[in-house]
Amino acid sequence: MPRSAKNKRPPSAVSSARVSRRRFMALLGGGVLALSGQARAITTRSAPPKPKPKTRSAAIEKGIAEQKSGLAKQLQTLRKFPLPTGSDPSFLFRPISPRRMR
Amino acid sequence: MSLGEDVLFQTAAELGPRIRKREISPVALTEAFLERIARDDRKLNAFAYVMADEARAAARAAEKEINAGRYRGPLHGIPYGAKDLLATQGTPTTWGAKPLKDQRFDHDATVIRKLKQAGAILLGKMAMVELAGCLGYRWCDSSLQGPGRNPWDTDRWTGGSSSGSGAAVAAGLVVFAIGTETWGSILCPSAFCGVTGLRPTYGRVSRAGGMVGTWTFDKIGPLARSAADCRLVLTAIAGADPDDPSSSQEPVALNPRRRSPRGLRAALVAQDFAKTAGAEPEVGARFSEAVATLRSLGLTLEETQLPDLPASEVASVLITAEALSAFERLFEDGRVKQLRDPYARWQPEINRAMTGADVMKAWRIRRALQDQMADFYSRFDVIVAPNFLSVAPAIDRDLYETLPYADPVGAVGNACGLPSIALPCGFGRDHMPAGYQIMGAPWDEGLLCDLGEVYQRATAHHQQRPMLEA
Repeated sequence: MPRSAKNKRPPSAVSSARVSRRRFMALLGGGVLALSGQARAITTRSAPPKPKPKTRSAAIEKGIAEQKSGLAKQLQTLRKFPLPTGSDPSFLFRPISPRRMR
Repeated sequence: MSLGEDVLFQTAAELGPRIRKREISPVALTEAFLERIARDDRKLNAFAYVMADEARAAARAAEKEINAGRYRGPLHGIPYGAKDLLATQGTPTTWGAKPLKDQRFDHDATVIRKLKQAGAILLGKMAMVELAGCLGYRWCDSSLQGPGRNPWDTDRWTGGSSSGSGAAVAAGLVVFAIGTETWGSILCPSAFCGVTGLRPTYGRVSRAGGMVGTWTFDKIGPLARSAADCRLVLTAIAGADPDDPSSSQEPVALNPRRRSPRGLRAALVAQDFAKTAGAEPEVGARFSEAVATLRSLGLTLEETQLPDLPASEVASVLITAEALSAFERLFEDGRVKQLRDPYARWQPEINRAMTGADVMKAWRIRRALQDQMADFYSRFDVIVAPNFLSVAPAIDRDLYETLPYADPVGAVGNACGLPSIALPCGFGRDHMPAGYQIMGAPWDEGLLCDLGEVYQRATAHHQQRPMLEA
């Protein structure tokens, strides 16, 4: 499964334990510049984003609202249900040994 | 040799000895079923794909073996169907879903392989609700094959999600069929089509080569003409499988043990048909009659309640969470939009309020429920309960309106992975089939088959068959 862009690790992935103070300041400065550039881009956008075209009928909207409401009730029931602190779930986690050890 | 229609409604337990004695030829039997499928399936939408050539070849091979004295067992030469979420090498396996209409696998599911080893003859893949309904569905036509049409009234639904499996057994298009259940998908079509269905204990049957709708709820089991046939089929497909880590090492002990229910304690979990929206009094009356029959046969029934835990909420939240993960690729690449159910594509949005903590809470309540049910089954051998509270609804109706009632027994059964047998018990409104269920402790399928057989020796509801209009 391809990862979404949001989940990609930043290119500067911090392998910088031994980065010099000067290099650190340079990176930090670059980041600040980049951020301010981004901010400028946002503030100078000429027109507000167009609203997404409505793709759902009233019936579908109603059905979605019903399902959301049903879920909310289910979640409320689960959240209110008292259990002893630290009670076990149904599943049991098991580490898997490497094949060479079997 | 031309076989009469009656032969097509015989059980595997009846056909097997006749095939063994060479009174009935597997080739002639297969041909007769293929003719019936060609004639009647267009009225039912029961088959997703008919494997005529493969079935004929398998029938010839079976006949050759049997004639040579190499009889494999009670399913040798018996024609059957398999829900279209089980992989079959080289033929389409659509999972009932348009975006997967061209999907093929290069291997057989373990269940298909085991039935092949038993000598059973696969006639084809049975139609089903898209993705076995794991993303929810509201309309009967939520399937690549269109709505499953009930042989008792083709304007009514078969039930789902093993729609074609139920219809084909009821209509005499196969001797038995393989279905699956996440929550209700074997029991519902069994009730609506008037056939006997067995949901095995979670882990009893390998799911290798089957669609994953959910990892911790899916079970594979038979829909057939009798409890005896369910036992024969389950015996052939049960057992541990290295290709499915969730399959159990628990010994498979399915041989008949009891010819009487005397000495057994059953919990009677009734429902108030008069006060439950959508419940039909006629189905309630049939259930009462079934209970009276079981009592007359010597079963001790004690009315009681199930443990008061939110089983429906647990099952619903966990099934949703697992299914959203199982089908994430359909959401990512947009193919979910090709599904028939208009709400499928919106499920991530609908369920956005569900948190990781909610899912873990459901898992913990599930464990508490398992503990309480283990205690429950130390006091009772089985639970006797209604199956669906109404007969099959009209095919064009909103299922949220026609089936508005809760399913507390099904919720507990599926959340705890418990086996249940669905048994026909007569007819409700408009002469449509009604059914009930007997639910057991884990690994007690043998006992459920025993009780089903005792009940079916005393009644003839499972022998009724529909008259399909020309």
